Amino acid sequence: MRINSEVIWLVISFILTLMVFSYLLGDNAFFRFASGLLIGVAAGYFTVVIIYQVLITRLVVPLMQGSTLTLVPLFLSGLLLLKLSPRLSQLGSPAMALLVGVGAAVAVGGTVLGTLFGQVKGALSFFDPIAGASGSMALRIVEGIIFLVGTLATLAYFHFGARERRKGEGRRRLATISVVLGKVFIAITLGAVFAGVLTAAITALIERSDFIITTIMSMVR
Amino acid sequence: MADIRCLICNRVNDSSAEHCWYCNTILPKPTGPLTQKEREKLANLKKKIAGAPNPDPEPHGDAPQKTPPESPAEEEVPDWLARIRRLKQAEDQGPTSGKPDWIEEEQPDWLAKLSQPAAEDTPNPHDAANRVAESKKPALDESLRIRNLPRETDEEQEFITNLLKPTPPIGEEDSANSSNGQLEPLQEDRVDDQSGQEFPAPEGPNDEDFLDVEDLLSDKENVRSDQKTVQESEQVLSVPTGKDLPFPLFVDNLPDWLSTEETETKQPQDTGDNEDDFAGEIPERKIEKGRLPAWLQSLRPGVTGSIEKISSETAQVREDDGVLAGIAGTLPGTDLSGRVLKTGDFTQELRVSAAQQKNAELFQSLLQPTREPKAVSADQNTAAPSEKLLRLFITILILLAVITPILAPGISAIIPVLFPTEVVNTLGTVQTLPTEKPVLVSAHFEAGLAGELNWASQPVLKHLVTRGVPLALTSTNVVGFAILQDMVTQAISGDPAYAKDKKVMDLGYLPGGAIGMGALVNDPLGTLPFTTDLQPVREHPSLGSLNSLSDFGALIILTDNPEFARTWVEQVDGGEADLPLLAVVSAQAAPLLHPYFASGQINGYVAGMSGALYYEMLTMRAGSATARFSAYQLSLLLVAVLIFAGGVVSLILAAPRPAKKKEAG
Repeated sequence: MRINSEVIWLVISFILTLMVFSYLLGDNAFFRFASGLLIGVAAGYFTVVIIYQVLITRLVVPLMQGSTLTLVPLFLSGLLLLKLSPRLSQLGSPAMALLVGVGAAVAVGGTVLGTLFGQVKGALSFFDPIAGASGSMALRIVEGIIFLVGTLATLAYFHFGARERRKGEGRRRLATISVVLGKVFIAITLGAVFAGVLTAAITALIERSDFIITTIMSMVR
Repeated sequence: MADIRCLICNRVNDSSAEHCWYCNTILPKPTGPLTQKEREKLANLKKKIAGAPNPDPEPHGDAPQKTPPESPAEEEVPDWLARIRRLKQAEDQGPTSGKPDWIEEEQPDWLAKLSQPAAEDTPNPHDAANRVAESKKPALDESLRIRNLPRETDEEQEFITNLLKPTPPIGEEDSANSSNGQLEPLQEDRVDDQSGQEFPAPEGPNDEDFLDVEDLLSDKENVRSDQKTVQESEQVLSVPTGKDLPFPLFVDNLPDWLSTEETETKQPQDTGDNEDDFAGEIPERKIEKGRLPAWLQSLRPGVTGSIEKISSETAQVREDDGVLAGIAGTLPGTDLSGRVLKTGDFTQELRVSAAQQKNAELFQSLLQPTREPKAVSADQNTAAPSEKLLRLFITILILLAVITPILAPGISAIIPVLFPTEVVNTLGTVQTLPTEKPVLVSAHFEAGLAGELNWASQPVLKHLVTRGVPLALTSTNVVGFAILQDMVTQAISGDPAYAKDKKVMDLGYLPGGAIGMGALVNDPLGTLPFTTDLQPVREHPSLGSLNSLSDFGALIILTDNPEFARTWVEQVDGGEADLPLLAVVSAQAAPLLHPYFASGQINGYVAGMSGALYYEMLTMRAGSATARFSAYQLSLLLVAVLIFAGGVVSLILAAPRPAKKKEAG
């Protein structure tokens, strides 16, 4: 086998993978070394990427090209650096306020327009005969009913504003059923999420195991 | 002439001297008889002193009864007094009466009454003396009671009886005294002396006495004008000593400080050791010993130590260092190094109502953790041996389930026959993408799930590469940017016809999170103006006509985080961009991403290894997902069995044991 850079990186990856898998036998120095190496390399790589793909491409080059508008983010960035000084940290508050305000506005606007309105529209689309013309209308209606009931039951479970009843009086039957249904839907959702996490982990294990076996077999050959 | 003894220093001076040789005090000069005016003045003074009312009419029961002092011995009489007495005797022997007129006139009433019978019984004085004295005793008692003087004891009564006896004639007295060759003190002197010694006011001189003295001092001019006459009269009155007098005779000759000081310090000498018993009745001018409260007395530093003692101790102190080094008598500094300053205790009680107490308890319960934080031990060696063996057994089982299908390709997997809608829609979308428009691939995932995303994304990327669609790569996290390049390179490696340099544009890292995404949706060129090679995006042949996000053929999201996918959906759906949105996500993000597909906000997605298998099956291209799907199914089946078995065992172990309950009962 010809030794080239790919082989070297293959061997390094194989050794690092074995170091990570050594955690199955308990915490040890190999696992800690691999973890530390990953964190250090990621931090270094992050710094290089920030310098080359943010500062140079978005600050230095435009300034060299004469873009005066770039002075505004440069000034705001300088104010943010003043946050390091306890005495001058107040000067960085405007830039920080701008970041927080713009971030909140973008997040809230996207949530309202993208998630809230979009999900409501999607829930109504099950009952739209035109939108469901391509499939079975009855099946779509059943699916839509399940979606609607699941949404309302989940909201009912998280509704804590019910009036306090007198002694001997429990919740109304409809509220009780909604809460139980909400619990069922929430349990199904959490189960699906757990299954997804487990599936992702199993997939990662298979991918790494396949890499180790393939590497060993390639080395043997 | 005889020598004159100084009243101040008590030293003998020559008779011709006007001032004392030792203390320069004006010496008294014996003169002739007093004038009428002098007699009246002296009588008034005497009356004021003798007739002062006693503020305490009732004698103190617990006050010690003073025994009358014995008559002064003749040897104790000073010389000048002896000379005065001799002069008195010489005057008495004259043609006039035995007493001076001014004494007769200016006597107090009670004294005049007492002396009258004695004068009448002069023919037989010794026999009638006791009888007269007994008869006058009630009158004397009455007089004492009126004057609020304490009643006398038996010895006092005897002394008073002797006192009330009529004075024998001068000739007899002289004959009687001549027997022993000593002078007998004048009866007047005896009375005055006894009046001062016999009836001491328990409380000392009252205020009126001092006021009289002040009056006397204020009347200094008059006294000075008659100074000479007063000196003579005082000698006639035969005051025993200057110290025994209630006031100085020659006040004008004394210094001011002495004239007042002697008057004020006289009474304590008379009271002697019983000062404390009468301390409460000492006049105001006397600097009395303060009776302070116990708490204040305890606060006074060094009460018992005298000022002289403190001064002597202070004088011995010598500073060793500092600006006062070498100087004796300085006040020693206090060593404050070990002194602890403590704030005063505020004894005011804090009143807390029941509602406040309840709120405080509630707040305290919120602040306190529900349970003690338990450190999670990462070292599995600390686990129990049985638990460690069980964990190792499960690990070996899973590894066997993963490795066995890889090493034994004959184990086939169960291939599904129904394909999910999201995968079918993804395939349809990619299949209909125009080849001239680039597809924007945005990545955001961590390195741990890079393997899963690599297997899930390879069918989609290979499909795009097969169709010759240009790719524009960007990432909102640094790790995803690095791995994304490797994924694309791996996808292109299978199709040598695809020109990577021309059709793949690396736009690099997109900072800002949601803000960066929103900016990219609204202004792609302004947000990502350069490639990683610092080439302008506009100059790239595939992105020359790029002005907005709609100029991209589609947006493919590669992520393991459903929040990142949701943010992308929100920004694209809320913006003006109109382009297909596809997603290649991890299996753990699929449940949370599906509602966006159901609502039509996402055109399709491929989730995990199963989604990649479906896509490979649809494209009729076997890949990594198809090759390792058997291991995937077997390992998932094993995990599901283990979870179920664990649940059953847990239920059995957690179930109540009736046999033990019966035994316990």
